[in-house]
Amino acid sequence: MKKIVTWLFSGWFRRPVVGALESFITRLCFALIVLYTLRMDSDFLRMTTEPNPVGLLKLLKPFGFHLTWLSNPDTYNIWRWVIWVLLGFFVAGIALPVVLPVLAVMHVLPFTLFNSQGYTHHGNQIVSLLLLVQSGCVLWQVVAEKRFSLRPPDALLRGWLHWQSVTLIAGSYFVSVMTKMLISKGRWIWKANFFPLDMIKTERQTWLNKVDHPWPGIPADALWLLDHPWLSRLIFGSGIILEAMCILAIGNRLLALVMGISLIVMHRSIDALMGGVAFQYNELLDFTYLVGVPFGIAWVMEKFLSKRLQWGLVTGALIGVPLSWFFQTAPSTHIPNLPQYFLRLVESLGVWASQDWRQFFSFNTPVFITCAITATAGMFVAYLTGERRITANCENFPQSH
Amino acid sequence: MRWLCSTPITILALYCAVSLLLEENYPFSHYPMYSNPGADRSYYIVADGVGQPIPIADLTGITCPKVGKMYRKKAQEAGKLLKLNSSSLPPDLQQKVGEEIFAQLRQYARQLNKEMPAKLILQKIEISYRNGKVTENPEVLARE
Repeated sequence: MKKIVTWLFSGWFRRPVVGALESFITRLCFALIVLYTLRMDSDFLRMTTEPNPVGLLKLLKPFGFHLTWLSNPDTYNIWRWVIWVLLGFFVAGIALPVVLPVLAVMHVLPFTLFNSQGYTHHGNQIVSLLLLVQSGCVLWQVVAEKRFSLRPPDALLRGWLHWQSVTLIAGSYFVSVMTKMLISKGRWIWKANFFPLDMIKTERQTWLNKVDHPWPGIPADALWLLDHPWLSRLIFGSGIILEAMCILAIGNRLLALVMGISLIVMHRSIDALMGGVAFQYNELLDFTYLVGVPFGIAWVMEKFLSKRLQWGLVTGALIGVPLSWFFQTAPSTHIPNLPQYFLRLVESLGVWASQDWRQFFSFNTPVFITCAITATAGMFVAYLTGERRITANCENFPQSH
Repeated sequence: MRWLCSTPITILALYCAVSLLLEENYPFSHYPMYSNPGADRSYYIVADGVGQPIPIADLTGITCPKVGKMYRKKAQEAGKLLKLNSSSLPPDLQQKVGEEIFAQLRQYARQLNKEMPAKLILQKIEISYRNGKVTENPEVLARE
């Protein structure tokens, strides 16, 4: 028993080991998610007032501080391109003590304006906070440990960045549990049998957005759940227990994988039951930091390829992305320039919420094929220019079969 | 005390405390959605002068749940002065809050070059589950 308890909490006191390749792929995935949050440019450009200031705006508005200048199309355009450039540095791991804090502030400001319109959106917070907490890590290294470096993060910083990121993601679920318990006075699970009323409410609200089909009746599954209160409590109650338990994912790769998959299943179930309430940033971050997709990719590559071949593959694949623009031939995917093309690629992340895989593959198949070819070419070049080593692991495969 | 700096749990505790304290102040949030299930839920309808719902998201870019959030937020602020909660405002204050929302919605519609009906009505619909039955009761909050 003691062993199990020790294992469950061991990650809280043991910094994870994060390799350079995993760290690079993680930064790449996170950069794409950050860019994805900024796709709503038409929304920002309409925010010419601040009727209900929140956050920094609430604090500084009395001193004449405003954010509506961000809704100027020219300003916002420059703003966005600066973020693109900074994210390029971020992915490369260069100058993180400077790049990360600037990125964090640049992400917080437009969404502060966004949430100052009188309707709070609960989605972007986790991305802004992740940038802030990562900034805290690099600044801590500079200030408290007196280690300033513009080079890619060392093993210590990589470990802390990952550790704190998982903590922040787990923390956001944990905060939601605490709020549920505080507001419902500890009776959330007992009252969860009324949760299907929110399903009806969401159905109504979805209809009212467009009013494009006959008034929907009461969803049959909502009625059924209302008539089966104990089953409702079990189904919805399991969600809150999962959210509470996800702090065990901190520093524990296996538990993070289990929690990550469970949280994604929970989000998908809510989306299906509620008819389109997707927490897509949470899910994408769960994939990156909890499920550990970058960790898995790096693990496979490190297992079978030498360092030179690993970076040859990565470089080749990255070169393939802009190259794939020339192979997008379908008229529906005609995009006038490369920056627009990158934007469209980033928007492809929306497939997880829309589940429109047909459209996703019709646009991204040329990207995958091009990247596969250039990645192979990258490895080949690395092989020709460097040592011919396919790792000791591969050479030492058992010969008996 | 040194161990406090060598575990991310310190940040976890700090983050939870700050989020619960600051509530909805970007980038912090206490994530209050779905936090208090109950036998009554409400949603909001923006209708034209004769009470017919209008496709609010198409016309203004503002979705129906956002209209509800706008109303509750403004009603909460208006009620603060009178020490009332957002759901027990007197009719004149409901009307005033509704008019602010109508003005904001019309501005958004103008930005999208969409035409709004000449008159608007804001309704709150209460969905209830009692004795095995779901009922929906409308209440007019404001009208132009």
